[in-house]
Amino acid sequence: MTDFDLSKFDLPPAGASAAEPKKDVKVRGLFDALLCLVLLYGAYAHTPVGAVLEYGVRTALGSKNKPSLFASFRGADTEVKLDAASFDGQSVHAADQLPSPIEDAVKLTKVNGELLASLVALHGSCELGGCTIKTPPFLEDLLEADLRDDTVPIAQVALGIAKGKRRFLSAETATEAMFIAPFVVERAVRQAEASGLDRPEDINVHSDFFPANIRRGAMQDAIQVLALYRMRTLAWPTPATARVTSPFGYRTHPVLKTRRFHNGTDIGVRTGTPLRSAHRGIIKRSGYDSVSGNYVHIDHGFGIVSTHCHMSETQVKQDQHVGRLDVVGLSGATGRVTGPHLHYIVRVDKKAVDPQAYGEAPRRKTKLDMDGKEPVTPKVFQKKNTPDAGPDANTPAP
Amino acid sequence: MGFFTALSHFFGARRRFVRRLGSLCLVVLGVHAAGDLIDNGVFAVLDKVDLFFDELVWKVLDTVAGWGLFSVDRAADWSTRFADWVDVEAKQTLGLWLALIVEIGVVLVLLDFVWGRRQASHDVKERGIKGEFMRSVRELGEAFTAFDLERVAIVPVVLCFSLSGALWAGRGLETIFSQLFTDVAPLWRLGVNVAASGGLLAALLLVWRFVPDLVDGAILRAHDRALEQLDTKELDKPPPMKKRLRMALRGAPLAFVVLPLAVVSVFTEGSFLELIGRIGAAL
Repeated sequence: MTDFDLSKFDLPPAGASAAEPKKDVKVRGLFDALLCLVLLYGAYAHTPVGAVLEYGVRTALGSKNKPSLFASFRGADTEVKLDAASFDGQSVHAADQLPSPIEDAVKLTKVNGELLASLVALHGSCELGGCTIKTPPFLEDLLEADLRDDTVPIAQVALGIAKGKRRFLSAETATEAMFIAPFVVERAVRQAEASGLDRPEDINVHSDFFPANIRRGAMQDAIQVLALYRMRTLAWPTPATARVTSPFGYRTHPVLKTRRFHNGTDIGVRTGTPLRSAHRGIIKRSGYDSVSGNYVHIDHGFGIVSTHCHMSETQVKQDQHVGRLDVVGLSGATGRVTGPHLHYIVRVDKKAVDPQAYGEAPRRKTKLDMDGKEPVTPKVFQKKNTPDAGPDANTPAP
Repeated sequence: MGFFTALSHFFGARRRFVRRLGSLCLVVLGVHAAGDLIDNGVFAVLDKVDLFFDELVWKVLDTVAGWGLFSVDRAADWSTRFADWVDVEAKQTLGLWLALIVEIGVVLVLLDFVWGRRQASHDVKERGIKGEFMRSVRELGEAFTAFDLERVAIVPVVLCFSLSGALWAGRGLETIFSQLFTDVAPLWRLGVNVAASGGLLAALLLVWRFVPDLVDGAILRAHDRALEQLDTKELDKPPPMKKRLRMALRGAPLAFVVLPLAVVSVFTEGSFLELIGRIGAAL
């Protein structure tokens, strides 16, 4: 241990460059170079080190399209893939009464009406008693028929989705195939499946396997429709009879008497009431916070994230996949609260939004605690008007 | 001379650079295999720290409110504002940033060893994986005559990270093989098993081509770094106790922080065990 006679090593002095191989010796190195190329690609495309380097290069070149530094961490939420501008003004509430052409198409094909309504909202219109959309580029492939018009009735679209559903086992995947190309989608789904990924039919899962040109172009049309559909079908986490005790928005705190922003909706439920997932998703975090108590943070894809707070018990683990309306825990009064309730937060594009404006949530009928101001309009993105989420203002329930 | 032969000779002449680059990528992939563990660990620590300070601030304000300096409602308001300051979202973002910094930090710490120093190939009598490995073991034994945590830790760290990196890359290649089989022979029942075996074989190939050279270079570099700590005058006599202790503890972060991560990275759910599991799946 105390033998420090390091000079016995037959080593070149530190810093000296090692000699190159003799010139007459020709060594082959193509195999090593190919293996190195594989490793180089892996390190570039799938590690934060690669992302940091790409970010640096793009910044230096003045590019606006910069990669996410956290995309390769499982703890990071799904990257937002929405084109916010095209959503502005679209209703994200499940319609109580769909237009009659959509209702008819639903009866005929059993395709979800909200999915058809999302298609019409983004790619068509309902006029003179008929609903049409701009003909999706690959609807012909699904219908196995020629389509010559620029627009197509929603019933025919529904028929294409129903046919595609038999092939893709999911109406959402069939819808996606209408815009992207069935064989490309099929291939991506199979690749995701072969990679051992859960829910390979979900576009949020298999879109990584699309060719680069698809990821940049045609995918956006499909993403917009599916994202709007997901928003319109977000379920309510508690029984419908549960009362909203404090809605989203600015309010005068009942105890502190100060005007504060409330970034979620408080729903009065007894301790032990099962709380459900608003849609299918992945549990990103499940833990305890001094303010939020026991909480569950669910990533529903497309940049939609929901958080359940103050639970007495969580029944899910990190990275677990949950389905729509799966129980994620029981309500309670943990964290900073004055009584049992669920503080329910929905974030879209990293901004807190009114949970009551989405999907099957009970609609806000009164102005409640909005201090005389109009309730938040149920639009998806209100970047200019919606107050920033700011801190997690889940103040105690009154 | 054909094009491929010329190309092969071109890369052959630069094989030490190619191997260093490959080794570096291997270690970067290996470190990222532990990335989620780092992220979760950092988040858990942040959670505890946040909880501690939230409780502390509330207790202090509540106590001061008890003295009558301000109302309990005001104390509750201030403590809530403080607690709101770092919420779950903020902790998640902060956790990811810290995890990113830790991951890049680990890569930077290892960079010097991974790029390392390589023996000139014509000076080395031993060839092939066995020869290089035996020489590395012999030199390692000699190098350990002076106790130094850095040199103790560097070998398992580099070995584990390169192994997990190779398995990660093997898993990526398995996906490609699997897709190939799905396209060519979709009904072949053993396609998944063969693809997984192919992935493991690719991982072994990477280990064979890069790891002995990587470990060898890291050992030599660690040896250089140890020499840099000593004055040439001191080489003949043992250094004073203080210096000996400093040298011994020099590699403490490597041994007690990076090494556990390296070991865990080999057994992360996403690489080794899954790959092995799929080889035997449905047989």
